[in-house]
Amino acid sequence: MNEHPSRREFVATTSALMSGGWLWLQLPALSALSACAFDAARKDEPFVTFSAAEGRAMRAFAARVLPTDDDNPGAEEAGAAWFADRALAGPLASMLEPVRAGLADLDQRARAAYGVVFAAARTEQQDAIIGEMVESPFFELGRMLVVIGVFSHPDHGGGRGDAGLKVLRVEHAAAYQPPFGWYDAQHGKGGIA
Amino acid sequence: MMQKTFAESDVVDFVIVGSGAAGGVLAKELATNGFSVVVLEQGPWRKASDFRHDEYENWLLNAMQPQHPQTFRRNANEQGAVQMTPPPIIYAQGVGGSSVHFTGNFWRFRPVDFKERSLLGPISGTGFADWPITYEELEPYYTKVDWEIGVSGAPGPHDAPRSQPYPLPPMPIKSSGALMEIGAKKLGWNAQVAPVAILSQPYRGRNACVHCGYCMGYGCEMNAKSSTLAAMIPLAVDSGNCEVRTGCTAMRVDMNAAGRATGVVYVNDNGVEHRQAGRAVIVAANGAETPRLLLLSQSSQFPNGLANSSGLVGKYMMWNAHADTFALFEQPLNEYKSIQVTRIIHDFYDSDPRRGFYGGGALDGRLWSGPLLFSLFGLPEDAPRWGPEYKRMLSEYFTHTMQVASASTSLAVESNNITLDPDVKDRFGRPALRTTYHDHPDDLKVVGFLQQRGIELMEAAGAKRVWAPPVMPATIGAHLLGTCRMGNDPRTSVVDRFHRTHDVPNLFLCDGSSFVTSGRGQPTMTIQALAFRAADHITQFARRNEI
Repeated sequence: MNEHPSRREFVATTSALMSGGWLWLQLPALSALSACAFDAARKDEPFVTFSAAEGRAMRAFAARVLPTDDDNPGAEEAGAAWFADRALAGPLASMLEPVRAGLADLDQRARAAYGVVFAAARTEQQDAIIGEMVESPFFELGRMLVVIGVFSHPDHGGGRGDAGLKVLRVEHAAAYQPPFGWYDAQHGKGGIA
Repeated sequence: MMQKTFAESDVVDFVIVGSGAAGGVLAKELATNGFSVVVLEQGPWRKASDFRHDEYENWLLNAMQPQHPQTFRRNANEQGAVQMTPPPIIYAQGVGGSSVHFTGNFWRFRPVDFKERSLLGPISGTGFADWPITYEELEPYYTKVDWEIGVSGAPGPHDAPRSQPYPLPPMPIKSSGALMEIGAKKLGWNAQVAPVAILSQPYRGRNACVHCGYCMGYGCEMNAKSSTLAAMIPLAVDSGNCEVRTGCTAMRVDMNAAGRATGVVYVNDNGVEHRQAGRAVIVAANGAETPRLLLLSQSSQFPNGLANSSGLVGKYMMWNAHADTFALFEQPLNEYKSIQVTRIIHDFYDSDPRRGFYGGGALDGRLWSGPLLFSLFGLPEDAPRWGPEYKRMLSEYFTHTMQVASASTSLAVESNNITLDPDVKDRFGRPALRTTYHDHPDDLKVVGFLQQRGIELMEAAGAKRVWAPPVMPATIGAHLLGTCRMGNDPRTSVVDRFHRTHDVPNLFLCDGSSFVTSGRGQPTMTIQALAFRAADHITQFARRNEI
């Protein structure tokens, strides 16, 4: 087949799993992430798993997966790289090598094409490099770690400042009252034509 | 709460394995009827305050699922392969079992479900059969479930007869429900209130739902979801007759030379073996673990597994088939708020031979994924997976998307089953749960037919965009049904119409394993009605010394 096998399987599995109403990631050792609960960390806290160079590359990669807008935070504000850093410590060592290799690959490509490490390249240059790598196993792992890092509970190292909810532009509360959305509000007024 | 505790050597009246949808009901009924009960539960005893809106922990780490290895294969020609992310058999361990993390959808069976074989005739290559009981016999117990568990709803046009109204009014409609109604009206279908085991008002000392949005896959921090943890176990313990013993994994049912059960052997979390004596044993461990316990209890007396003279223990597993349709709308729906489902369509419930395949089912309106899962998987397949446009689409789609979930019948196929894996063992030395499953072709056809109806429905409702992932054979199941089926004939069933095993007079089985047919998709209410009915009859047998 033309597509990278892991991507095709991943997508097919995703479709199958969504059909069951149960979504899962077909990635080994994911259950090992359960060991990695931490207090919410400050953004300048050092990495425990990544080297400084790897941490910079991860932050830069994350910032391109979910960029920051003028009015809206992204993966950087959410601390997604710190989620990944802690998630890859200890029990998730089996995922660490492909992620490490991928981060090194980002830097190698950036040096070869632009003479700087990935984090120092311009955003268009970073996007071009990621675009070359979207079929790679690293992209799937990295993207997953970034997205979980943005949207997960802060106890896991990311999810800072409600960044995920701001990305989705939702008002969030522990409890709500009806009406919940536009269509049920209209329903209460006697329906929509 | 201080509970009564028993010594292991105390011969209690009933040892119940499992404290979930069925086990919780059985414990409460038997204990309040004056019997001494020990419930063995492999997981922990959580409180409402333990439950968090942690999508990563509950959905990706599957924190409430036992971590024991499981294997999966599609048919007996394959070797089972370890599958753990996710495992093929999905359930929550802990007091309340899967009733803690389930969505709360709560449908009664209809009369047709119990006698479809008589109506339609046999289906070759399957174990399609009638139940040994009728809807009319179960109806008083469905009503008991309504009032004792706490169910919110309103009658729909196709509903089976009911002797009492719902105890609680419907939950407020969501946008997904309003859109179901709009589409249904255009198509001449009926979108009716979805009955849910969630309290729309305070009830029997429990809080009403606060519409937080975290039902499916989570415990309810308000105790508004009617799990047995919230609704049944406290009453069982308060009777003074019931001990719920947690961290206890059942290893086998013990038997004596006279062919009677004498208790249950179990291990604690450190693997130390214990044994609780009892006058009778009830296994309510769910439709995968109940047959596994019987197979693990094999002996020279029962070389094919305990209570397995029929050879059917573990067989005829049915999961219900599932498929989805997604739709984007112009205005915000905000499906992340409130319970998952407020409207269902049951117009396609009955099997129609003119379609060319067996089966029927239902549609419901929801959006099951929270922020994290939606961001990982929720956008259409052609959406960018990263970058500014991905981010923009997330912010547009998350609040403007709904899903029509189709659920259908599964046919009883003998090669769909639970067996003991010959190679893989868990940390207690038990052979791993091995699932063999491949949907009958009619299951995939009927759920595909329902998926098409979902597409029509969303287009009729005015969706800007509709997308539907292809229907594929299931590799994971949360509805665990049929594996120790009821019947009048010991050659073709495992338990009789009162859940007593044909082979062992003081051994009862009651949970999804008891099902003969799968129903149309939401089995928990029927599991609990069966449990109330079983408890009623078991009580009468015990009082008449007939166990």
